[in-house]
Amino acid sequence: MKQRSCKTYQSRTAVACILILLLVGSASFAGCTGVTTQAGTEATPTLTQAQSRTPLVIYAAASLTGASPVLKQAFEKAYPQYDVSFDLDGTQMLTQKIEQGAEADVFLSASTRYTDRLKSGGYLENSTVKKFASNYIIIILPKANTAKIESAADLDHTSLRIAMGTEEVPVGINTRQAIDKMANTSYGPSWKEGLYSNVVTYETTEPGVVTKVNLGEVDAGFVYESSYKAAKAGTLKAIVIPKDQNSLQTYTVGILAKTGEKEGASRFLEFLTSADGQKILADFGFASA
Amino acid sequence: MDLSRIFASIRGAWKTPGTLAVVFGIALVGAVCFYLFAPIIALFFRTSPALFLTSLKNPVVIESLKLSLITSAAATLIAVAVGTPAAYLHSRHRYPGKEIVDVIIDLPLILPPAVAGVALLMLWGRMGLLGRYLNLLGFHVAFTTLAVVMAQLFVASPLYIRQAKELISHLDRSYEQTARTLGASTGTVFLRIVVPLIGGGLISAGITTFARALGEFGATIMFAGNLSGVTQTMPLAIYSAMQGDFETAISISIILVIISIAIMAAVRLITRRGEIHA
Repeated sequence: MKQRSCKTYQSRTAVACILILLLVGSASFAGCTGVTTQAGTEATPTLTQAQSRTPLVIYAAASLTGASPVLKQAFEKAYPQYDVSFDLDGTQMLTQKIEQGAEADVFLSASTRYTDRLKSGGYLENSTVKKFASNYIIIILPKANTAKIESAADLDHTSLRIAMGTEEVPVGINTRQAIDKMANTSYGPSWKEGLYSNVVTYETTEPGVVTKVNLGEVDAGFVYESSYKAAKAGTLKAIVIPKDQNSLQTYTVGILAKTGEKEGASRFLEFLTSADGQKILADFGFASA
Repeated sequence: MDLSRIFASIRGAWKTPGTLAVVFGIALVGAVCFYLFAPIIALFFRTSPALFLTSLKNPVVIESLKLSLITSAAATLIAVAVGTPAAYLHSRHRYPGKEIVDVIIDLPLILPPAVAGVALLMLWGRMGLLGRYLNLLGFHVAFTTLAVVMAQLFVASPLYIRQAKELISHLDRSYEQTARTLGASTGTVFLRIVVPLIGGGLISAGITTFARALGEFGATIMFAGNLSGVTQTMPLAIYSAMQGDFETAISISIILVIISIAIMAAVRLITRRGEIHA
Protein backbone atom coordinates (compact mmCIF):
# COMPACT_ATOMS: atom_id res chain seq x y z
CA MET A 1 0.00 0.00 0.00
CA LYS A 2 2.73 2.34 1.04
CA GLN A 3 4.71 1.47 -2.01
CA ARG A 4 1.74 2.12 -4.24
CA SER A 5 1.08 5.54 -2.82
CA CYS A 6 4.76 6.24 -3.19
CA LYS A 7 4.54 5.23 -6.80
CA THR A 8 1.53 7.43 -7.52
CA TYR A 9 3.32 10.23 -5.74
CA GLN A 10 6.31 9.71 -8.00
CA SER A 11 4.20 9.61 -11.14
CA ARG A 12 2.42 12.79 -10.09
CA THR A 13 5.73 14.51 -9.54
CA ALA A 14 6.78 13.35 -12.98
CA VAL A 15 3.64 14.74 -14.57
CA ALA A 16 4.06 18.01 -12.70
CA CYS A 17 7.67 18.21 -13.87
CA ILE A 18 6.62 17.65 -17.48
CA LEU A 19 3.98 20.34 -17.20
CA ILE A 20 6.43 22.82 -15.70
CA LEU A 21 8.92 22.00 -18.45
CA LEU A 22 6.19 22.66 -21.02
CA LEU A 23 5.41 26.02 -19.40
CA VAL A 24 9.06 27.02 -19.25
CA GLY A 25 9.51 25.79 -22.82
CA SER A 26 6.61 27.83 -24.15
CA ALA A 27 7.78 30.87 -22.22
CA SER A 28 11.29 30.64 -23.62
CA PHE A 29 9.85 30.00 -27.07
CA ALA A 30 7.82 33.17 -26.78
CA GLY A 31 10.93 34.94 -25.53
CA CYS A 32 12.94 33.68 -28.50
CA THR A 33 10.40 34.78 -31.07
CA GLY A 34 10.22 38.14 -29.33
CA VAL A 35 13.96 38.53 -29.65
CA THR A 36 14.01 37.57 -33.31
CA THR A 37 11.24 39.96 -34.30
CA GLN A 38 12.96 42.71 -32.39
CA ALA A 39 16.26 41.99 -34.03
CA GLY A 40 14.52 41.84 -37.38
CA THR A 41 12.82 45.20 -37.10
CA GLU A 42 15.15 47.23 -34.94
CA ALA A 43 18.77 48.17 -35.13
CA THR A 44 19.64 46.12 -32.00
CA PRO A 45 19.82 48.70 -29.24
CA THR A 46 22.69 48.18 -26.85
CA LEU A 47 22.06 47.51 -23.21
CA THR A 48 23.40 50.85 -21.99
CA GLN A 49 21.10 52.64 -24.39
CA ALA A 50 18.13 50.69 -23.15
CA GLN A 51 18.92 51.64 -19.58
CA SER A 52 19.20 55.37 -20.16
CA ARG A 53 16.19 55.74 -22.46
CA THR A 54 13.44 58.05 -21.30
CA PRO A 55 9.97 56.57 -21.42
CA LEU A 56 7.41 58.43 -23.53
CA VAL A 57 3.80 57.38 -23.11
CA ILE A 58 1.49 58.03 -26.05
CA TYR A 59 -2.27 57.66 -25.68
CA ALA A 60 -3.48 56.99 -29.21
CA ALA A 61 -6.82 56.34 -30.89
CA ALA A 62 -7.30 52.63 -31.61
CA SER A 63 -7.59 53.34 -35.36
CA LEU A 64 -3.85 54.14 -35.22
CA THR A 65 -3.07 50.57 -34.09
CA GLY A 66 -1.51 49.56 -37.41
CA ALA A 67 0.61 52.69 -37.75
CA SER A 68 1.76 52.82 -34.12
CA PRO A 69 4.67 50.33 -34.21
CA VAL A 70 6.07 51.94 -37.36
CA LEU A 71 5.76 55.41 -35.84
CA LYS A 72 7.53 54.14 -32.72
CA GLN A 73 10.34 52.58 -34.70
CA ALA A 74 10.93 55.63 -36.89
CA PHE A 75 10.77 58.04 -33.96
CA GLU A 76 13.13 55.96 -31.84
CA LYS A 77 15.55 55.74 -34.75
CA ALA A 78 15.61 59.52 -35.00
CA TYR A 79 15.67 60.00 -31.23
CA PRO A 80 17.28 56.91 -29.66
CA GLN A 81 17.12 58.46 -26.19
CA TYR A 82 13.35 57.82 -26.01
CA ASP A 83 11.44 54.63 -25.36
CA VAL A 84 7.98 55.11 -26.83
CA SER A 85 5.02 53.07 -25.65
CA PHE A 86 1.48 53.28 -26.99
CA ASP A 87 -1.78 52.83 -25.14
CA LEU A 88 -4.28 52.17 -27.92
CA ASP A 89 -7.97 52.41 -27.12
CA GLY A 90 -11.12 54.17 -28.26
CA THR A 91 -10.54 57.94 -27.98
CA GLN A 92 -13.50 58.15 -25.59
CA MET A 93 -11.78 55.62 -23.28
CA LEU A 94 -8.46 57.47 -23.43
CA THR A 95 -10.27 60.70 -22.57
CA GLN A 96 -11.93 59.02 -19.62
CA LYS A 97 -8.60 57.60 -18.42
CA ILE A 98 -6.89 61.00 -18.64
CA GLU A 99 -9.73 62.63 -16.71
CA GLN A 100 -9.37 59.94 -14.07
CA GLY A 101 -5.72 60.84 -13.62
CA ALA A 102 -3.85 58.53 -15.98
CA GLU A 103 -0.36 59.79 -16.72
CA ALA A 104 0.69 60.15 -20.32
CA ASP A 105 2.77 62.53 -22.38
CA VAL A 106 1.01 62.78 -25.74
CA PHE A 107 -2.66 62.39 -26.74
CA LEU A 108 -3.52 61.32 -30.30
CA SER A 109 -7.24 61.81 -30.73
CA ALA A 110 -9.52 60.60 -33.50
CA SER A 111 -12.19 63.12 -32.63
CA THR A 112 -12.16 66.84 -31.95
CA ARG A 113 -15.08 66.27 -29.57
CA TYR A 114 -12.79 64.60 -27.04
CA THR A 115 -9.81 66.87 -27.72
CA ASP A 116 -12.04 69.87 -27.00
CA ARG A 117 -13.34 68.21 -23.85
CA LEU A 118 -9.81 67.68 -22.54
CA LYS A 119 -8.80 71.20 -23.60
CA SER A 120 -11.61 72.82 -21.66
CA GLY A 121 -10.89 70.56 -18.70
CA GLY A 122 -7.32 71.81 -18.54
CA TYR A 123 -5.78 68.42 -19.30
CA LEU A 124 -3.91 69.53 -22.44
CA GLU A 125 -1.35 72.19 -23.24
CA ASN A 126 -3.89 73.93 -25.44
CA SER A 127 -1.32 75.82 -27.52
CA THR A 128 0.25 72.54 -28.66
CA VAL A 129 -2.94 71.01 -30.08
CA LYS A 130 -2.93 70.61 -33.85
CA LYS A 131 -4.40 68.50 -36.62
CA PHE A 132 -2.24 65.73 -38.05
CA ALA A 133 -4.45 63.51 -40.20
CA SER A 134 -7.96 62.96 -41.47
CA ASN A 135 -10.13 60.07 -42.44
CA TYR A 136 -13.44 59.30 -44.14
CA ILE A 137 -15.92 56.54 -43.33
CA ILE A 138 -16.07 53.55 -45.67
CA ILE A 139 -18.26 50.44 -45.71
CA ILE A 140 -16.24 47.23 -45.70
CA LEU A 141 -17.48 43.74 -46.57
CA PRO A 142 -15.87 40.33 -46.08
CA LYS A 143 -14.02 39.11 -49.15
CA ALA A 144 -16.61 36.37 -49.78
CA ASN A 145 -19.52 38.84 -49.59
CA THR A 146 -21.99 35.99 -49.19
CA ALA A 147 -24.75 38.54 -48.52
CA LYS A 148 -24.14 39.88 -52.08
CA ILE A 149 -24.15 43.53 -51.05
CA GLU A 150 -23.71 45.68 -54.16
CA SER A 151 -24.15 49.18 -52.78
CA ALA A 152 -25.06 51.11 -49.65
CA ALA A 153 -28.70 50.89 -50.76
CA ASP A 154 -28.63 47.14 -49.95
CA LEU A 155 -27.77 47.64 -46.29
CA ASP A 156 -31.42 47.67 -45.19
CA HIS A 157 -32.10 44.18 -46.59
CA THR A 158 -33.49 41.89 -43.92
CA SER A 159 -31.29 39.24 -42.28
CA LEU A 160 -28.09 41.19 -42.91
CA ARG A 161 -25.65 41.52 -40.03
CA ILE A 162 -23.90 44.84 -39.60
CA ALA A 163 -21.24 46.07 -37.14
CA MET A 164 -20.49 49.68 -36.27
CA GLY A 165 -18.99 51.77 -33.49
CA THR A 166 -20.88 52.82 -30.37
CA GLU A 167 -22.35 56.32 -30.10
CA GLU A 168 -19.27 57.39 -28.12
CA VAL A 169 -16.33 56.06 -30.12
CA PRO A 170 -15.22 58.54 -32.84
CA VAL A 171 -15.79 56.09 -35.68
CA GLY A 172 -19.34 55.60 -34.41
CA ILE A 173 -19.98 59.34 -34.28
CA ASN A 174 -18.88 59.76 -37.90
CA THR A 175 -20.72 56.65 -39.02
CA ARG A 176 -23.98 58.07 -37.70
CA GLN A 177 -23.34 61.39 -39.41
CA ALA A 178 -22.64 59.69 -42.72
CA ILE A 179 -25.73 57.47 -42.42
CA ASP A 180 -27.87 60.52 -41.68
CA LYS A 181 -26.53 62.29 -44.76
CA MET A 182 -27.05 59.23 -46.95
CA ALA A 183 -30.60 58.82 -45.66
CA ASN A 184 -31.42 62.49 -46.20
CA THR A 185 -29.97 62.78 -49.70
CA SER A 186 -30.52 59.36 -51.27
CA TYR A 187 -32.02 56.45 -49.40
CA GLY A 188 -34.71 57.80 -47.07
CA PRO A 189 -35.67 57.19 -43.43
CA SER A 190 -36.97 53.63 -43.87
CA TRP A 191 -33.56 52.61 -45.26
CA LYS A 192 -31.91 54.09 -42.20
CA GLU A 193 -34.33 52.27 -39.91
CA GLY A 194 -33.74 48.96 -41.71
CA LEU A 195 -29.97 49.46 -41.57
CA TYR A 196 -29.98 50.06 -37.81
CA SER A 197 -32.20 47.04 -37.21
CA ASN A 198 -29.49 44.97 -38.93
CA VAL A 199 -26.79 46.06 -36.49
CA VAL A 200 -25.79 43.09 -34.34
CA THR A 201 -22.93 44.68 -32.42
CA TYR A 202 -21.77 48.14 -31.43
CA GLU A 203 -18.01 47.99 -31.00
CA THR A 204 -16.07 50.25 -28.65
CA THR A 205 -13.10 50.61 -31.01
CA GLU A 206 -12.70 50.95 -34.76
CA PRO A 207 -10.42 47.88 -35.11
CA GLY A 208 -13.16 45.93 -33.31
CA VAL A 209 -15.46 46.55 -36.28
CA VAL A 210 -12.72 45.61 -38.75
CA THR A 211 -12.12 42.30 -36.93
CA LYS A 212 -15.81 41.34 -37.01
CA VAL A 213 -15.88 41.89 -40.79
CA ASN A 214 -12.53 40.16 -41.31
CA LEU A 215 -13.77 37.09 -39.44
CA GLY A 216 -16.84 37.07 -41.66
CA GLU A 217 -19.06 37.29 -38.58
CA VAL A 218 -20.90 40.28 -40.03
CA ASP A 219 -21.83 41.15 -43.61
CA ALA A 220 -20.78 44.78 -43.45
CA GLY A 221 -19.08 47.25 -41.15
CA PHE A 222 -18.56 51.00 -41.01
CA VAL A 223 -14.88 51.82 -40.51
CA TYR A 224 -12.28 54.40 -41.53
CA GLU A 225 -10.89 54.46 -45.05
CA SER A 226 -7.42 54.03 -43.55
CA SER A 227 -8.32 50.56 -42.27
CA TYR A 228 -9.43 49.48 -45.73
CA LYS A 229 -6.40 50.97 -47.46
CA ALA A 230 -4.00 49.42 -44.96
CA ALA A 231 -5.67 45.99 -45.05
CA LYS A 232 -3.86 43.22 -46.91
CA ALA A 233 -4.93 43.36 -50.55
CA GLY A 234 -7.87 41.10 -51.33
CA THR A 235 -8.90 40.49 -47.71
CA LEU A 236 -11.79 42.96 -47.77
CA LYS A 237 -14.24 44.49 -50.20
CA ALA A 238 -15.40 48.07 -49.84
CA ILE A 239 -18.23 50.40 -50.78
CA VAL A 240 -17.05 53.98 -50.98
CA ILE A 241 -19.37 56.65 -49.59
CA PRO A 242 -19.31 59.78 -51.77
CA LYS A 243 -17.59 62.75 -50.13
CA ASP A 244 -20.76 64.89 -50.02
CA GLN A 245 -22.55 62.15 -48.06
CA ASN A 246 -19.56 61.32 -45.91
CA SER A 247 -18.29 62.65 -42.61
CA LEU A 248 -14.68 63.79 -42.33
CA GLN A 249 -12.85 62.80 -39.16
CA THR A 250 -9.98 65.01 -38.07
CA TYR A 251 -7.17 63.61 -35.95
CA THR A 252 -5.60 65.97 -33.46
CA VAL A 253 -2.52 65.68 -31.29
CA GLY A 254 -1.72 67.50 -28.08
CA ILE A 255 0.75 67.43 -25.20
CA LEU A 256 -0.71 66.62 -21.82
CA ALA A 257 -0.59 69.42 -19.26
CA LYS A 258 0.85 67.13 -16.61
CA THR A 259 3.59 65.58 -18.74
CA GLY A 260 6.97 65.24 -17.11
CA GLU A 261 8.64 64.93 -20.49
CA LYS A 262 7.69 68.07 -22.38
CA GLU A 263 10.77 68.00 -24.59
CA GLY A 264 10.24 64.45 -25.76
CA ALA A 265 6.52 65.07 -26.20
CA SER A 266 7.07 68.10 -28.44
CA ARG A 267 9.67 66.16 -30.43
CA PHE A 268 7.11 63.44 -31.04
CA LEU A 269 4.55 66.04 -32.05
CA GLU A 270 7.02 67.59 -34.51
CA PHE A 271 7.87 64.18 -35.87
CA LEU A 272 4.22 63.31 -36.40
CA THR A 273 3.60 66.41 -38.51
CA SER A 274 6.98 66.18 -40.30
CA ALA A 275 7.33 64.72 -43.79
CA ASP A 276 8.56 61.42 -42.29
CA GLY A 277 5.64 61.08 -39.90
CA GLN A 278 3.10 62.07 -42.55
CA LYS A 279 4.61 59.53 -44.95
CA ILE A 280 4.04 56.73 -42.44
CA LEU A 281 0.46 57.85 -41.83
CA ALA A 282 -0.15 58.02 -45.59
CA ASP A 283 1.21 54.47 -45.92
CA PHE A 284 -1.47 53.39 -43.45
CA GLY A 285 -4.20 55.06 -45.44
CA PHE A 286 -4.60 58.30 -43.50
CA ALA A 287 -5.25 61.48 -45.44
CA SER A 288 -3.37 64.63 -44.48
CA ALA A 289 -5.17 67.05 -42.19
CA MET B 1 -21.24 46.34 26.25
CA ASP B 2 -19.96 49.47 27.93
CA LEU B 3 -16.79 51.09 26.72
CA SER B 4 -14.84 51.05 30.00
CA ARG B 5 -15.09 47.26 30.13
CA ILE B 6 -13.88 46.98 26.56
CA PHE B 7 -10.93 49.25 27.32
CA ALA B 8 -10.20 47.26 30.47
CA SER B 9 -10.14 44.03 28.53
CA ILE B 10 -7.89 45.57 25.91
CA ARG B 11 -5.55 46.77 28.68
CA GLY B 12 -5.66 43.32 30.19
CA ALA B 13 -4.87 41.72 26.89
CA TRP B 14 -1.94 44.04 26.40
CA LYS B 15 -0.26 42.61 29.51
CA THR B 16 -0.71 38.98 28.63
CA PRO B 17 1.86 37.31 26.44
CA GLY B 18 1.01 37.20 22.76
CA THR B 19 -0.65 40.61 22.80
CA LEU B 20 1.59 41.79 20.03
CA ALA B 21 0.39 38.87 17.95
CA VAL B 22 -3.22 39.88 18.60
CA VAL B 23 -2.59 43.49 17.61
CA PHE B 24 -0.70 42.35 14.55
CA GLY B 25 -3.54 39.99 13.67
CA ILE B 26 -6.17 42.73 13.99
CA ALA B 27 -4.09 45.09 11.84
CA LEU B 28 -3.58 42.43 9.21
CA VAL B 29 -7.24 41.43 9.02
CA GLY B 30 -8.20 45.11 9.06
CA ALA B 31 -5.87 45.81 6.15
CA VAL B 32 -7.34 42.93 4.18
CA CYS B 33 -10.90 44.14 4.85
CA PHE B 34 -10.04 47.70 3.94
CA TYR B 35 -8.38 46.68 0.71
CA LEU B 36 -11.26 44.45 -0.35
CA PHE B 37 -14.20 46.50 0.84
CA ALA B 38 -13.14 50.17 0.54
CA PRO B 39 -13.50 50.26 -3.29
CA ILE B 40 -17.06 49.00 -2.97
CA ILE B 41 -17.86 51.71 -0.40
CA ALA B 42 -16.26 54.30 -2.72
CA LEU B 43 -18.83 53.42 -5.41
CA PHE B 44 -21.58 54.85 -3.21
CA PHE B 45 -19.72 58.14 -2.67
CA ARG B 46 -19.76 59.17 -6.32
CA THR B 47 -23.53 59.22 -6.60
CA SER B 48 -26.54 60.40 -4.65
CA PRO B 49 -29.72 58.46 -3.84
CA ALA B 50 -31.68 60.81 -6.12
CA LEU B 51 -29.29 60.27 -9.05
CA PHE B 52 -29.29 56.54 -8.42
CA LEU B 53 -33.08 56.38 -8.45
CA THR B 54 -33.37 58.42 -11.67
CA SER B 55 -30.82 56.21 -13.40
CA LEU B 56 -32.98 53.21 -12.52
CA LYS B 57 -35.46 54.59 -15.05
CA ASN B 58 -32.76 54.73 -17.73
CA PRO B 59 -33.68 52.17 -20.45
CA VAL B 60 -30.03 51.02 -20.66
CA VAL B 61 -30.14 50.05 -16.99
CA ILE B 62 -33.55 48.36 -17.19
CA GLU B 63 -32.76 46.45 -20.38
CA SER B 64 -29.37 45.25 -19.19
CA LEU B 65 -30.77 44.22 -15.81
CA LYS B 66 -33.60 42.29 -17.42
CA LEU B 67 -31.28 40.65 -19.96
CA SER B 68 -28.70 39.76 -17.31
CA LEU B 69 -31.24 38.16 -15.00
CA ILE B 70 -32.91 36.17 -17.78
CA THR B 71 -29.71 34.92 -19.41
CA SER B 72 -28.01 34.08 -16.11
CA ALA B 73 -31.11 32.22 -14.94
CA ALA B 74 -31.22 30.27 -18.21
CA ALA B 75 -27.52 29.40 -17.99
CA THR B 76 -27.95 28.29 -14.37
CA LEU B 77 -31.00 26.14 -15.14
CA ILE B 78 -29.16 24.40 -17.97
CA ALA B 79 -26.11 23.89 -15.76
CA VAL B 80 -28.28 22.38 -12.99
CA ALA B 81 -30.45 20.24 -15.28
CA VAL B 82 -27.53 18.77 -17.24
CA GLY B 83 -24.74 19.17 -14.72
CA THR B 84 -26.34 17.40 -11.75
CA PRO B 85 -26.99 14.00 -13.40
CA ALA B 86 -23.70 14.29 -15.29
CA ALA B 87 -21.82 14.94 -12.05
CA TYR B 88 -23.64 12.02 -10.40
CA LEU B 89 -22.88 9.51 -13.13
CA HIS B 90 -19.32 10.77 -13.38
CA SER B 91 -18.70 10.53 -9.64
CA ARG B 92 -20.32 7.13 -9.09
CA HIS B 93 -18.62 5.26 -11.90
CA ARG B 94 -15.10 4.37 -12.83
CA TYR B 95 -14.36 4.59 -16.50
CA PRO B 96 -11.33 5.04 -18.70
CA GLY B 97 -10.48 8.70 -19.25
CA LYS B 98 -12.25 9.82 -16.10
CA GLU B 99 -9.33 12.02 -15.11
CA ILE B 100 -9.33 13.63 -18.54
CA VAL B 101 -13.01 14.47 -18.07
CA ASP B 102 -12.10 16.08 -14.73
CA VAL B 103 -9.52 18.24 -16.45
CA ILE B 104 -11.97 19.20 -19.22
CA ILE B 105 -14.55 20.25 -16.64
CA ASP B 106 -12.02 22.31 -14.68
CA LEU B 107 -10.37 23.96 -17.67
CA PRO B 108 -12.88 26.80 -18.24
CA LEU B 109 -12.47 27.76 -14.57
CA ILE B 110 -8.84 28.73 -15.04
CA LEU B 111 -9.13 29.85 -18.65
CA PRO B 112 -9.22 33.65 -19.08
CA PRO B 113 -12.78 34.56 -20.22
CA ALA B 114 -11.34 36.45 -23.20
CA VAL B 115 -9.88 33.14 -24.42
CA ALA B 116 -13.29 31.54 -23.93
CA GLY B 117 -14.85 34.28 -26.07
CA VAL B 118 -12.44 33.83 -28.96
CA ALA B 119 -12.70 30.04 -28.69
CA LEU B 120 -16.51 30.08 -28.74
CA LEU B 121 -16.40 32.32 -31.80
CA MET B 122 -14.01 29.94 -33.54
CA LEU B 123 -16.42 27.04 -32.99
CA TRP B 124 -19.87 28.62 -33.20
CA GLY B 125 -19.14 31.80 -35.19
CA ARG B 126 -20.45 32.14 -38.71
CA MET B 127 -17.11 31.00 -40.13
CA GLY B 128 -16.48 28.69 -37.18
CA LEU B 129 -15.92 24.93 -37.23
CA LEU B 130 -19.57 24.13 -36.45
CA GLY B 131 -21.06 27.57 -37.01
CA ARG B 132 -20.50 27.46 -40.76
CA TYR B 133 -22.82 24.45 -41.06
CA LEU B 134 -25.44 26.06 -38.82
CA ASN B 135 -25.14 29.13 -41.02
CA LEU B 136 -26.00 27.04 -44.07
CA LEU B 137 -29.20 26.02 -42.27
CA GLY B 138 -29.91 29.71 -41.67
CA PHE B 139 -29.17 29.44 -37.97
CA HIS B 140 -27.00 32.10 -36.30
CA VAL B 141 -25.54 31.62 -32.87
CA ALA B 142 -22.89 34.34 -32.45
CA PHE B 143 -24.11 37.86 -31.61
CA THR B 144 -27.51 36.69 -30.37
CA THR B 145 -29.03 36.40 -26.91
CA LEU B 146 -28.39 32.66 -27.18
CA ALA B 147 -24.67 33.46 -27.48
CA VAL B 148 -24.86 35.33 -24.17
CA VAL B 149 -26.32 32.24 -22.47
CA MET B 150 -23.71 30.02 -24.13
CA ALA B 151 -20.85 32.23 -22.98
CA GLN B 152 -22.23 32.27 -19.44
CA LEU B 153 -22.79 28.52 -19.49
CA PHE B 154 -19.23 27.95 -20.69
CA VAL B 155 -17.60 29.93 -17.90
CA ALA B 156 -20.08 29.21 -15.08
CA SER B 157 -21.24 25.59 -15.47
CA PRO B 158 -17.86 24.07 -14.47
CA LEU B 159 -18.29 25.86 -11.14
CA TYR B 160 -21.60 24.07 -10.61
CA ILE B 161 -20.45 20.64 -11.80
CA ARG B 162 -17.38 20.86 -9.63
CA GLN B 163 -19.42 21.60 -6.51
CA ALA B 164 -21.97 18.90 -7.40
CA LYS B 165 -19.15 16.36 -7.80
CA GLU B 166 -17.79 17.36 -4.42
CA LEU B 167 -21.18 16.99 -2.75
CA ILE B 168 -21.83 13.59 -4.32
CA SER B 169 -18.40 12.23 -3.44
CA HIS B 170 -19.00 13.09 0.23
CA LEU B 171 -22.38 11.39 0.20
CA ASP B 172 -22.56 8.03 1.98
CA ARG B 173 -23.18 5.35 -0.64
CA SER B 174 -25.13 3.11 1.73
CA TYR B 175 -28.39 5.04 1.16
CA GLU B 176 -28.15 4.46 -2.57
CA GLN B 177 -27.17 0.83 -2.11
CA THR B 178 -30.15 0.22 0.20
CA ALA B 179 -32.52 1.75 -2.34
CA ARG B 180 -30.92 -0.38 -5.01
CA THR B 181 -31.45 -3.59 -3.08
CA LEU B 182 -35.10 -2.59 -2.75
CA GLY B 183 -35.27 -2.46 -6.55
CA ALA B 184 -34.97 1.25 -7.31
CA SER B 185 -33.58 2.22 -10.72
CA THR B 186 -30.63 4.61 -11.19
CA GLY B 187 -33.03 7.39 -12.11
CA THR B 188 -35.17 6.84 -9.02
CA VAL B 189 -32.12 6.64 -6.75
CA PHE B 190 -30.81 9.87 -8.23
CA LEU B 191 -34.07 11.80 -8.00
CA ARG B 192 -35.48 10.38 -4.74
CA ILE B 193 -32.31 9.76 -2.70
CA VAL B 194 -29.32 11.72 -3.99
CA VAL B 195 -30.94 15.01 -4.97
CA PRO B 196 -32.94 15.42 -1.72
CA LEU B 197 -29.90 14.56 0.42
CA ILE B 198 -27.62 17.15 -1.19
CA GLY B 199 -30.38 19.56 -2.26
CA GLY B 200 -29.22 22.43 -0.03
CA GLY B 201 -25.68 22.17 -1.32
CA LEU B 202 -26.89 21.98 -4.92
CA ILE B 203 -28.99 25.11 -4.46
CA SER B 204 -26.07 27.08 -3.05
CA ALA B 205 -23.91 25.75 -5.90
CA GLY B 206 -26.61 26.92 -8.30
CA ILE B 207 -26.64 30.37 -6.73
CA THR B 208 -22.88 30.82 -7.01
CA THR B 209 -23.14 29.63 -10.61
CA PHE B 210 -25.81 32.26 -11.23
CA ALA B 211 -23.52 34.87 -9.70
CA ARG B 212 -20.63 33.85 -11.95
CA ALA B 213 -22.92 33.96 -15.00
CA LEU B 214 -24.19 37.39 -13.97
CA GLY B 215 -20.63 38.71 -13.82
CA GLU B 216 -19.54 37.29 -17.17
CA PHE B 217 -17.92 39.94 -19.34
CA GLY B 218 -14.97 38.90 -21.51
CA ALA B 219 -16.48 35.92 -23.28
CA THR B 220 -19.79 37.71 -23.77
CA ILE B 221 -18.45 40.87 -25.40
CA MET B 222 -16.36 38.81 -27.81
CA PHE B 223 -18.82 36.09 -28.68
CA ALA B 224 -22.18 37.83 -28.28
CA GLY B 225 -21.31 41.44 -29.08
CA ASN B 226 -22.61 44.56 -27.41
CA LEU B 227 -26.18 45.37 -28.42
CA SER B 228 -28.54 46.98 -25.95
CA GLY B 229 -31.53 44.80 -25.10
CA VAL B 230 -30.16 41.81 -27.04
CA THR B 231 -26.66 41.02 -25.84
CA GLN B 232 -25.65 43.92 -23.60
CA THR B 233 -25.68 42.42 -20.12
CA MET B 234 -24.99 44.51 -17.01
CA PRO B 235 -21.18 44.16 -17.04
CA LEU B 236 -21.15 45.14 -20.73
CA ALA B 237 -23.49 48.06 -20.00
CA ILE B 238 -21.06 49.24 -17.30
CA TYR B 239 -18.17 49.04 -19.75
CA SER B 240 -20.09 50.92 -22.44
CA ALA B 241 -21.46 53.52 -20.03
CA MET B 242 -17.97 54.27 -18.72
CA GLN B 243 -17.22 55.70 -22.16
CA GLY B 244 -19.90 58.34 -21.93
CA ASP B 245 -22.38 58.37 -19.10
CA PHE B 246 -20.35 57.88 -15.97
CA GLU B 247 -23.37 58.04 -13.63
CA THR B 248 -25.08 55.12 -15.34
CA ALA B 249 -21.95 52.99 -14.96
CA ILE B 250 -21.93 53.67 -11.21
CA SER B 251 -25.66 52.95 -10.86
CA ILE B 252 -25.40 49.60 -12.63
CA SER B 253 -22.35 48.75 -10.53
CA ILE B 254 -24.32 49.49 -7.36
CA ILE B 255 -27.18 47.27 -8.53
CA LEU B 256 -24.68 44.47 -9.11
CA VAL B 257 -23.14 45.00 -5.66
CA ILE B 258 -26.60 44.73 -4.09
CA ILE B 259 -27.39 41.58 -6.07
CA SER B 260 -24.02 40.07 -5.09
CA ILE B 261 -24.62 40.76 -1.40
CA ALA B 262 -28.10 39.25 -1.67
CA ILE B 263 -26.59 36.18 -3.34
CA MET B 264 -24.05 35.74 -0.56
CA ALA B 265 -26.72 36.12 2.08
CA ALA B 266 -28.84 33.50 0.33
CA VAL B 267 -25.95 31.04 0.17
CA ARG B 268 -25.14 31.58 3.85
CA LEU B 269 -28.76 31.06 4.82
CA ILE B 270 -29.10 27.86 2.80
CA THR B 271 -25.83 26.30 3.93
CA ARG B 272 -26.56 27.13 7.59
CA ARG B 273 -29.98 25.54 7.37
CA GLY B 274 -28.32 22.52 5.79
CA GLU B 275 -25.96 22.23 8.74
CA ILE B 276 -28.81 22.23 11.23
CA HIS B 277 -30.56 19.43 9.38
CA ALA B 278 -27.42 17.32 9.15
